[in-house]
Amino acid sequence: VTPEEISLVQTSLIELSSRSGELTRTFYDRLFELDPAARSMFPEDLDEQRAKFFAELSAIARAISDLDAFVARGLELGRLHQGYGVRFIDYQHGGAALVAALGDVLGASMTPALEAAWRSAYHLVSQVMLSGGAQS
Amino acid sequence: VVATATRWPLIGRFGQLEELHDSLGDPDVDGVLLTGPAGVGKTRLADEARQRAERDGHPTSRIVASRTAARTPLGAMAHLIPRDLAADSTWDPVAVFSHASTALSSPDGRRLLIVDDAHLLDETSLVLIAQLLATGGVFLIATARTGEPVPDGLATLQRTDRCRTIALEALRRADIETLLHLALGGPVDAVLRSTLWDLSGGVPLVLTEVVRRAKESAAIVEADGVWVQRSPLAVTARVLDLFADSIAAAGDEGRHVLELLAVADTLGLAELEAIAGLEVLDRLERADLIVVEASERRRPVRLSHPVVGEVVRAGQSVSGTKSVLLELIGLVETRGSRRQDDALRIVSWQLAAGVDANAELVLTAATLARQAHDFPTVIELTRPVSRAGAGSTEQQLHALVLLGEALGESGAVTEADEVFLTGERLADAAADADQRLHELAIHLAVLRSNNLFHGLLRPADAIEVRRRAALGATPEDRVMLELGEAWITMVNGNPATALDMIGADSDGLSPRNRVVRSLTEGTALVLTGRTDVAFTRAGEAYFEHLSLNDLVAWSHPGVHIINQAMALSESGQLTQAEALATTIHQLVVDDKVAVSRVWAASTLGRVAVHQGRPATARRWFREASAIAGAGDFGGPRRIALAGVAISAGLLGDAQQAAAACDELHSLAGEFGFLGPERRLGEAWAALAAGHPESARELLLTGADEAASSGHLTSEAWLLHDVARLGAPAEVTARLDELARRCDGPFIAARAAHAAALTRRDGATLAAVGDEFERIGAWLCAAEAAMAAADAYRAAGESRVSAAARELGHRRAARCEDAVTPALTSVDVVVPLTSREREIALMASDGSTSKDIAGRLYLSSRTVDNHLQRIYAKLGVSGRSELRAALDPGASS
Repeated sequence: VTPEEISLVQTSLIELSSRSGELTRTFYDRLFELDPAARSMFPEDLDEQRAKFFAELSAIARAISDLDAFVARGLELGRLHQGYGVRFIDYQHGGAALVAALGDVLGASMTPALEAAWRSAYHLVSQVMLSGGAQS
Repeated sequence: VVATATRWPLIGRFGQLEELHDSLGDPDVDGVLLTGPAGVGKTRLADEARQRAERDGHPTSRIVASRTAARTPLGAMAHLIPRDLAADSTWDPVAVFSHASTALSSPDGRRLLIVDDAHLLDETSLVLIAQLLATGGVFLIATARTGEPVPDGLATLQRTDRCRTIALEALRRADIETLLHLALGGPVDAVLRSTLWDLSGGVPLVLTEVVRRAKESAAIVEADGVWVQRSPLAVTARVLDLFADSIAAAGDEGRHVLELLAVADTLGLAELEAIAGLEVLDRLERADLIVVEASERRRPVRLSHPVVGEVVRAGQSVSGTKSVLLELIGLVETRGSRRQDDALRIVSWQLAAGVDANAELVLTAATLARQAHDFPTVIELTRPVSRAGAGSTEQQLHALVLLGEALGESGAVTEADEVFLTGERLADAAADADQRLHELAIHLAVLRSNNLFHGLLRPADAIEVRRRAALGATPEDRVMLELGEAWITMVNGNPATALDMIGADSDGLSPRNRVVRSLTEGTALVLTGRTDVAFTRAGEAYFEHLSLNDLVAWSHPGVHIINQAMALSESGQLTQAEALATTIHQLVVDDKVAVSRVWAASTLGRVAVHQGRPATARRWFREASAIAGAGDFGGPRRIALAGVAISAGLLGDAQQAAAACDELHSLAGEFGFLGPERRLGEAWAALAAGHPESARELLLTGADEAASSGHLTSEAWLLHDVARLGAPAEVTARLDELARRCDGPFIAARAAHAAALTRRDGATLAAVGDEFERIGAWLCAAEAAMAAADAYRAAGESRVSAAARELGHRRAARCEDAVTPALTSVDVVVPLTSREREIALMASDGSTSKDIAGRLYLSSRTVDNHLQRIYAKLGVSGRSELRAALDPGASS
């Protein structure tokens, strides 16, 4: 992730913070569209899950600039997800759902550069989480 | 941390790791074979699987097969076999199996047996392993290199439905990027990232080795928290060894193919087939040494990895290399030139082989290289022909033209002028000049003039060269030379005069002269605030420029796109400006045109400053300044340094801002283009050092300079910053006038901002803030919201004020730690005047009244009077309580 990409992602998160409800709703819609079986991994009522998701997304994206803290957080998060039974393919679905949801919510402000930035940030986050999962 | 000093993190293999783990838990599967080319990470993946299996409680063992161990049956497995059995020369296979089986069996579940380089295992060992698998007590993970012959026993195992095969391929680009980020411990600059991707070909071992060596030799360094490249990267002996085995296994015929490809880069499949036969090519492809592109009609064949070429070349004698070159020349000449760059290829092979190349062919090749902006090749090709006696006078002059231009473009501007001077004398001496010589002489004059001006910053000499050349020129050439003079006039800092010089339209001009004219027009229109028409004209000029086969004496048509990005930026379409500038930056990075990279990076920096992203801006300007400094591009370097000073000042980094200004002042020569904007850098440096009064004076001086030279967009920027720094009333009238004369919403918003600041009009300030936000100028948007909050507070509307302040903080959060006075709003019931605020902020930092008086050109008594009023307004008793009474500002 280049410095420019980090800055793009972090800036877009500020813009998204006032629309987190819309983003997380769209994200889970997109995710279950890609993988209907994933619905069973989550509780019936998604409200709390959605809030947690956005909080974690912002926290980890903000942390990218401080790599040690970022890696520690990502590994721990990966261990937790491993415990929930999350697998490699789920990370791929998650990434696709996130990019799609960002596109839905941001519309025209999802420029190609911003999309590439989110993809590379997601790749970094998911690879660190997968390392955490593989080490547990 | 994921990465340790000795080991890089595992990246991009988690799907396969999961499959290995699943297989180990699946009673219907006995083993997995990991196949793939050398260095792709087979052993590493097997090792990760082993660690994971151990954590799950599986016993594990590891075998490393090798050519040496394979000489004795069970050689690689000796340590798993009881010593007495192994030592017995009359050993009984059944007894060995039974012992090994007992030794490896375990009550804790299946034993994981890792066999590294299984393709090197002897057949006896493979029989034993097959027997062990059949007992169900052992699970196998074996690695094998693709392209190597597979032993029968392994092939048998692979065919059973109880064994799976995972073919590992090179990592994808995203994986390599993530790997670099984690292994280097921070972000990697886009150019370095792309270079490492190309060099590694996605092979992790190559990547780690190249990076390790580059770190040791400081070819890559961390600067401002970002990894950047400082000098060329080299591959290590270990990487070379990686391919040595498979190259040795390719046989003489295979090696010959590799030698040809190492020199030629690509050859058609049919051509190679005629030399080596399909069987040899097939073997090379299966060994992952060559790649056949199926997608193109010619079926081009290339080496699978740049390192293969290095290994082949390293093993080649001088005479061997020469015979390969001659063979290639013969090959391409026999089948006749088909591709446009065949001429270039033949000539470069002739030169490399030390064969006399045909001068005309060399010049054709050099012209092709020049069209591809490959200036190092142009220099290499033309130098021999440029010497007296190497060809006809015409050929020599042509070579001097190409050589001088390429030197200038590469930053060797002094040497370029010497070359041009030699050419000028040669042309003068040729009394009976024919038309072609004459054309070359004119072209040379244009190039020399440009180099004198852009490279050596000698505008007067540059104009003189053009005027002299115009004396004997055709009418069309005379027009071109005059248009060039307009260009010099503009770049020398007088866009308004330049616009007068080029006339109202391009009617009646030749296509080439239209393009030359548009270079001046596009830029001058932006500088004088006519951004709409500038954008349109630059777009037209770009396509016209591309369609010209003629050399326009300009390196890259991308300059028109940079003009377009500038037009968008100054008119206030910042998102589009950024997108366009990013595209052109990528284009010139790929084309490796240094001077265009400087301009593209500077444009990106400029857009980032307008967007309120000073940290990003500083990075772009520093990139621009570094490239300009390395290449002797003194003019654009000034603009980049001013940009560094502005962005460092916005970040409150007084030291860096001052250093950038010092460097700027130390540069020799004249360069007026965007010249008034250097005052912006000086002003923000002064402000960061705590001198707001000098900052405002510098800005006003710059605005005067801009007004008199016709830099209207620069003037608007300078005046608006005066307003932002607390003196809006001084600039409102002139900004209004500029807003009427220039188009686009940006200058209009700046004028409205200054006017509303003067009137302390909350509602208008809030509206201006929204307009800045729409433009994408977040820092100005944040400042306007803060000012609106103060104005509302003064009017007693505290609820609206709080909302405006909140909005201001939110906007400021997007501004990468910018610290400007207008963001440091004062949260008090009775608002301070801007002078009082300035003094309050200085006093709260611990400055004495005398200090403050000195910096603001006031008497100490006046400062004390102000302070008394401030204390009264804030309800504090002295300096020590000031800080707490002042809002800490946007950093929260």
